[in-house]
Amino acid sequence: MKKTILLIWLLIGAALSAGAQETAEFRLVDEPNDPGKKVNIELIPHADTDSAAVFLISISVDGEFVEEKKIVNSGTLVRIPVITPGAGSVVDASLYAVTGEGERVLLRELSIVSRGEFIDTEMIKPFILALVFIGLIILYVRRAKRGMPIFIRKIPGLEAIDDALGRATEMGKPVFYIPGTSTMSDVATLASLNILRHVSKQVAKYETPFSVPVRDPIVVTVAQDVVKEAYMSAGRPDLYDDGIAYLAALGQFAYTGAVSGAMVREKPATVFLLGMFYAESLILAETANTIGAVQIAGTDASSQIPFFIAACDYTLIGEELYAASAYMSREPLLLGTLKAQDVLKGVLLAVFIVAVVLRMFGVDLFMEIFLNPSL
Amino acid sequence: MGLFIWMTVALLLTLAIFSFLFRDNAVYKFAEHLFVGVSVGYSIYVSYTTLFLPRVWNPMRRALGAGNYLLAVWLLLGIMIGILYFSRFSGRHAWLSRYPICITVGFGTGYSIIPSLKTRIFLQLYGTVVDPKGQPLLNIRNIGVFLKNPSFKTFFYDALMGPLLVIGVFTVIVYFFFSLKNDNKVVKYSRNPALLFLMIAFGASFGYTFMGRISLFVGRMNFIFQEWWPIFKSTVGG
Repeated sequence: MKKTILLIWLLIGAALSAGAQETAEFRLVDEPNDPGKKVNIELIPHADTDSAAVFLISISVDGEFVEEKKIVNSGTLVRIPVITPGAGSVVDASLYAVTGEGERVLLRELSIVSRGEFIDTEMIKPFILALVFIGLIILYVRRAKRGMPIFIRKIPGLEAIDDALGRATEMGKPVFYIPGTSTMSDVATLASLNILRHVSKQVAKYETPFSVPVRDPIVVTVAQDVVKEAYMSAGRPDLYDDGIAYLAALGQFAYTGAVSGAMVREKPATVFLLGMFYAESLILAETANTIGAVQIAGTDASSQIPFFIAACDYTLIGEELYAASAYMSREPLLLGTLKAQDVLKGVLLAVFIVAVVLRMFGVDLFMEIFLNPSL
Repeated sequence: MGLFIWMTVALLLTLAIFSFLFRDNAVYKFAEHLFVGVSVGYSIYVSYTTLFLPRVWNPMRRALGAGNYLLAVWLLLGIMIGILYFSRFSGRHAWLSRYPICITVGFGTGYSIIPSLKTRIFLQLYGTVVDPKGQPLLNIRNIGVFLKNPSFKTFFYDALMGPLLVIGVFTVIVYFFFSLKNDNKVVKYSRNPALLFLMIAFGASFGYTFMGRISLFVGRMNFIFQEWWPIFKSTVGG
């Protein structure tokens, strides 16, 4: 009896699978290299829309219904990500074909247990590269500290900083420094605060009024420390005021409005726009332009550089922003890092050229070993 | 009537912001200060509801309720470190605020190193060697196809685009070498092509983004003429 029931179930299962195979390929795939929080449902409907014009996929996680997805048969792969609470979660998915009369026909039911991986294999090669990079940095910083000369080419925007500060001093007008609108974890913000140190020192020496409107509260505290330290090292702690670096606003366009208003009212002679910018870049640059300020801008946001090039007097493009602090301070730590960066770029460029040439002749192996992050 | 009043407020604030295009004025100042105040208040509310309650307060209550004191201590530790930010209000203890800043910056930068290398170096270079279909971008065969059957498509899209991309990436990377002198042969001869590639890319990006800004302006005009105006007519006109 048991055997008969088992046989019937097997036949039903086979029939359902055959039904699904006829109209679509349906599978559940655990997301590789994740902590077990994602499973992908993949459906490849066959282009024949007569058998099923529309599919329905009912999804549940750990026995609880999550959602039902409606998919129009377009004959192309559809991937539906399902987020789970963690590794070991059971994801069930049922595939239905919807007939012309709106009737549902169950094609297939699948189940999968999400798995978590301890090591993300796609991060192994980047990790090795990071170790190589760290090694290069240590090597060149040591060399720089021992006095090995490190050449840095001229960056026009940086050459103009002292002139722009001098102009503001002569005119008796303030200098505005806008360190971008991003957070401290952004590399551009860190690079900008390094430049802020140099600018603050010069401003303190010249006794020029200075203003640093900031959008992020954490950046404010760091900017205040940077400015304070710079004023002290310039020998003018008496000129320092906590109000130099201040929180202008938290919202993106509220900040833009506040800074634009401040620019129009205080009429700075020089405006620095250095850091990470988003859609506010042109508004700030244009406002500074209308009041006749000299603008020195720089960002690594490739979508905002064009606006700075169009509206500002000098623009630091992309990596020039990172190189700026080393260029101005000539500190061994920064110079060594910059040199290590160049060496790594050279190595990667060489690998890239070899990979391009070999791939042109149909050799994949080199490219796969050195450039594909997947093992 | 309530909807009409709020939409009219939105209209007046829109016009107040646009008045800055003429010159700085009291109406703009009012709108600016209102916007700044509202954005700060809104951010505090969002931080409270999306960060403090779900990430700190509720887990703490759950942990204490379930007797999971270890988790509660961890959360408390996080709260204590966060509270150190307030030390900025005290001149003597302001240095304590550097600890949460160090943790935030250190974690933020450290956490992003490996993913940045993967996405900004490996995947970018890989995508410059082969296209998404797995075909090499520097493909001699495509040039051969063009020579056999010259047309705009076979020339521009198939034969030229791939090599242009490869050459563009090479020259632009060389442009950003800072420790090489400008009279270095590779730097010297790749400088102008690199600038050309950069400016073409920036020009395209400028046009694309500019159109996006125009669509934002159109959105505000649509609000005035297609949303506010009909309601104004129906409300005032009776």
